Amino acid sequence: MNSALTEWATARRALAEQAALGVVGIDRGRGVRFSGIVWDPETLVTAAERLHGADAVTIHTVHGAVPAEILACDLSVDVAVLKTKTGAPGISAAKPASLAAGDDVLIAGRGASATTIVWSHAEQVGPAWRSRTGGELDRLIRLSPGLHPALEGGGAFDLEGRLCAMAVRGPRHQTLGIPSETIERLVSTVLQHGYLPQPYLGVRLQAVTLDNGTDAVIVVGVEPGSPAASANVLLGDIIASIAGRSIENALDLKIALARIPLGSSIDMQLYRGGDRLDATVTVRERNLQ
Amino acid sequence: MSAISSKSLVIGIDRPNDVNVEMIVAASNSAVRRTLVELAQRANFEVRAVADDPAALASLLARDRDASVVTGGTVTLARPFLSGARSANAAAVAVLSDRADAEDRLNWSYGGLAVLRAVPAIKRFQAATLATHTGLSVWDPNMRIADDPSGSNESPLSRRERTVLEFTAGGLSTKAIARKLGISPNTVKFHLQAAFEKLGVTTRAEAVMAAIRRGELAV
Repeated sequence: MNSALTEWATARRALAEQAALGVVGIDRGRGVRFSGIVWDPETLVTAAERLHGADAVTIHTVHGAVPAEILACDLSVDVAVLKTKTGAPGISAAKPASLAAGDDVLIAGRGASATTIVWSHAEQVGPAWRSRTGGELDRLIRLSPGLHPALEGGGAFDLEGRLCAMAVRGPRHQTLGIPSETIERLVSTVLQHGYLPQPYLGVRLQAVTLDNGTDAVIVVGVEPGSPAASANVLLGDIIASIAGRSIENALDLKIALARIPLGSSIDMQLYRGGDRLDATVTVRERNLQ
Repeated sequence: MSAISSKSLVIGIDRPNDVNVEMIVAASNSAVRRTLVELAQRANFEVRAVADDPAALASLLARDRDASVVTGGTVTLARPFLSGARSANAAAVAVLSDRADAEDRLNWSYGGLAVLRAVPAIKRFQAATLATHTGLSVWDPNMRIADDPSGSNESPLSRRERTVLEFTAGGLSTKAIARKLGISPNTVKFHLQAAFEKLGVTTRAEAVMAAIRRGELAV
């Protein structure tokens, strides 16, 4: 018997067993179909898109099934935050710098009665990026392609057993990792407010190209009573920049707003009838009635 | 299909049970099907069968000649089912989430077809269904011809679809949206599905982004 090999296998087994405690299976009424991560004893995270607008689900842990309530969904980064009591201690997050391309990771998820473990590795680890759906992710983490649907929302753990990312399926069979620091940011906002506040200006926009060749957005609608209406933004105004960030499309504005604390006043550079105009607008929370 | 006297039609609007309308719900999308089944049942019509493709509808109509067809979703989704209903000479109600163009309007102006804007009030749905049984052609005034001078084939979102997307963008659950709007969760899914079709997307996140990019949703 090769003792080095046995030790290696034992260490891998121990990691898998530890990871199993940090993940759950999620059932939104038709059986357990995808996974979630036990962020802390009372908070879970999972892939937002897989919830399909559910407001409560049943989660399956190593100890059995318990109900969970969905606190918030951030579709732009595909993370949902759920409230429940799992009895599990929760995961510990890896330091962002510790993961590099080529590193082995273990992806853990759960079905109704058993854990699913897949050994994978980080194919690519890169700087912050913007998703197609307007989310800002702190790092690009691409894992081995072809994630099983049941593992979506599950955790990618490093060899120390710490959580690096949540595994989700991307376009063209890619497997993306939502970095743990992105999840951390979202969870702390949601736990602070009890939901996810949406920064809001109240303008509907379309892309335009200015005479000097730069891209900007033109206001095609101002919602009554909105921050933009209070700042006297008018139909036909062109928004060139906001809080010093140039705005080339509606997505840029959405992302710029996400970084501005609610209630703060920011400068906006507009063009109205060809003239430059400076306006100040107070970013408020979108009031969903 | 039995002829209905004008008297029984009037009674029928209040108590459609007396008229005994049997319906086949036909749509390829499951969210659309569920909404239509719910609509037919709430209107007190009997749902005899559900068809998820035009071939299934054809074989159901061959067996059940008196059944009315109810279909819906976007014009594109409903079109094959409507032509199926027409070739089987069945009365039909189309519950559509976008506007019909001039050609559709011409093709669909025949006795026995009702074209309604999604999702109609129960009374309106009942009245339209019963009218098709008398051989009338019914057009919802909200289903005006799509007349887009820009020549773009993008159909604008309806007000309801926009509202549903706005709540979706806010991370609200289907049930929470239904509660806020006073409609059923299935109807919320119907509107969401219609918005997906119009925006050419398959996920909630993509729908929100596409609607923002098209200037239909405020930032």
